[in-house]
Amino acid sequence: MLEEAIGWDDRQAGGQFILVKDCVATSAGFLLNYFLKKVLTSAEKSSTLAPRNIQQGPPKVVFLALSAPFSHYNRICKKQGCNLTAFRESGDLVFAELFSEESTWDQKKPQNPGVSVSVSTSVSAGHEVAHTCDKLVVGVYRRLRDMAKKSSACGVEGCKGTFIMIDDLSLLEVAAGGSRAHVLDFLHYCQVLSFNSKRCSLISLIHGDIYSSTLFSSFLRELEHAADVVISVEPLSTGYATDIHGQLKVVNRTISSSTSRKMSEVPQLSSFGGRIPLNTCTTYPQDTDSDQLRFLS
Amino acid sequence: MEARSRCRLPCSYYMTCKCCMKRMDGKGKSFIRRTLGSTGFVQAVGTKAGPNGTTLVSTGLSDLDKIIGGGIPLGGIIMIMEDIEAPHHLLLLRYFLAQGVVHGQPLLFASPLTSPKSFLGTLPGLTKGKDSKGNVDLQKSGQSADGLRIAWQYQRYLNEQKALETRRQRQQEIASQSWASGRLHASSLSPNLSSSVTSGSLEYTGTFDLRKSMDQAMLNAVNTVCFSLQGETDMAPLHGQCAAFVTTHSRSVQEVPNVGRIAMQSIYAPQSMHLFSEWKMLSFLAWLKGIIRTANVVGLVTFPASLLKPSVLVRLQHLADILLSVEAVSDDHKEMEAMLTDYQDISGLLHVHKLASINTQVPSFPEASTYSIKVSRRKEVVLEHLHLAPVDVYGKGSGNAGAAQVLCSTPANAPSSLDF
Repeated sequence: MLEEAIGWDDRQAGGQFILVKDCVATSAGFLLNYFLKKVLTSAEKSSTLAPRNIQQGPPKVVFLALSAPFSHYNRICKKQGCNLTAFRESGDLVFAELFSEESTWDQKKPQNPGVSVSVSTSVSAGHEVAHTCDKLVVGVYRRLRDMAKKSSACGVEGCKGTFIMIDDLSLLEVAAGGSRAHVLDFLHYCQVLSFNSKRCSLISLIHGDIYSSTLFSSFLRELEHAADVVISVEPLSTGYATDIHGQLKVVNRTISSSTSRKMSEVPQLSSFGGRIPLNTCTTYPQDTDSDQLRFLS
Repeated sequence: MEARSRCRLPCSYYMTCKCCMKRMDGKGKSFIRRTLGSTGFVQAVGTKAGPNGTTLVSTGLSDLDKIIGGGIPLGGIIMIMEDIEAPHHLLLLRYFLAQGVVHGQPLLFASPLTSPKSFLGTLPGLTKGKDSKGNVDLQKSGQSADGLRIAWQYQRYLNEQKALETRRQRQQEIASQSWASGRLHASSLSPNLSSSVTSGSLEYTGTFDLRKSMDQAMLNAVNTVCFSLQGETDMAPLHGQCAAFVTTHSRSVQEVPNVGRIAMQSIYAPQSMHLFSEWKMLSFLAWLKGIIRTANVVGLVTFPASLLKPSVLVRLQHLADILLSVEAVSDDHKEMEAMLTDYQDISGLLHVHKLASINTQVPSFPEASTYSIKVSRRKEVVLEHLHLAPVDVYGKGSGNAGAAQVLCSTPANAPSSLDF
């Protein structure tokens, strides 16, 4: 149901950008887990569970976690029958745990010897600040690029494009010291990055309600414009329900017939995926507490 | 088998009593779920196992614990949005710190007060000899009430039950005593403390009396770090304090796990924070959340919500694991008075916005989103469901919209305030 709305099929090209919006009342973390599991287990038949050769293919997923540690995702996926640790060891999943890394949130001032900088104009000073703020973003990007270079050196045929997942963008903005331009640049670089001559796809979570006031909404609007698919997760509009936790709204802006996006054509807005109530299995007793989510139509 | 038959404690003591501890150690393996061994449950003073491999730590208020699903998960941050006109958040903060003191947990307290240390002197004290007094009361009331309620031929069953209960209680006392002494020696706290600790005080949640103040000996025995935010011009000192505090509690360093508590009062308050940019504060809190999650530490952060920019406020709300807000009620709010039966006793309202979903993707919802804060007999804080008065259908009932809006939970995206 959800895949249909997204237009997710096997012959998709890389370079897709899926933006997931959520708010305080309903978290959309479950969608990231859903995609993570989906992507990791999708081509399992071809790449088998046998130990990999020295020749490693590109990773299927590169996960940039800024809001929770690995154990959190691991635990959830384990309950759904997907062992992240195994995928991590086999190289299918590259997990960048930025969440608890000191350097992620490091906001120290640039270490410049104050006296000797007599020539520093305002331009270069601004440059320097921008540079330190952007240290993280650049660092992450460098890691990604190195990975891409390595993997293209030993090419493996028949693999799909790599997915870069970000949890979540608003924290990346915080880590970048609030410079939106850097975040947008980073996203663009990620999209044009190619592993094995396949462009990367991008799945990213963002807390939409941060940008709800008109003063700050430009960032979100720019992102939405850049995205191919926007999924917004909201609390149920009809009110509280014990078993239904919210609803999804999918806006698919790609043209379903062609695989590549043409900028000249009008994005197809008619394919509103409707409202998919997302449902947790609360009917089970506490003991068999399963972390499954069902999509109902 | 033997361990199980001995453990007769009610289930609220599950995992904290001695018998269960023994079972956790692996002596009665057949009764444990296999998965339990691989969980991240941390055995320490004042913890209990929560869902999804989390460890819960008490807030100090048993009612609040119940509301937020047992307690604060270890490694989580609970955020309280202050009412800038009332000090209700300090009440919760005091309980949080007092519980830490009772369990001998190190504290880090940062506050915009000039001397945060003096705030620790205002912590509520443990209710001493509460068991005996409570029992007397119970028996007294029990006798009079039983006489009315229970037919005479059933009296003997009642006696039997009483005997069973007292036996249970004694057993529990013994268990907690020996467990307490064992744990205390292990964590090498001062003997002074272990002698002053009464048998019931190492329960998961203590019972505090607001009229008493915390035992000075107890307070001295606990390792406290106080930090005044006033006059600070840089985040670095606080940053350093937190880093040092958390590293001593990191899961890899500690052989005997001991929970640490970090409390930050009125962070973002204008008197201390006007110098920092919002991004610095946000990244500080994100960093704090990151390092707390992997350590044996729980955090409590309060901030004045109405003084913040809306976008920053929402960011903070997303950062919180558990999000609460407190609100004072005014004495002469006619509409509210008409809607609530016990309005005179209520001193404030507690709103629950978000509950922890660590290690799970299934969100948990509170039973109700608003609770009333009462101080019963000036010594005990009670959180209760709101008692709504029956609706006066024939009354004028025109101006009730404002009160209804406060009391009823509306979905966040409801088109109008009355649509729920």
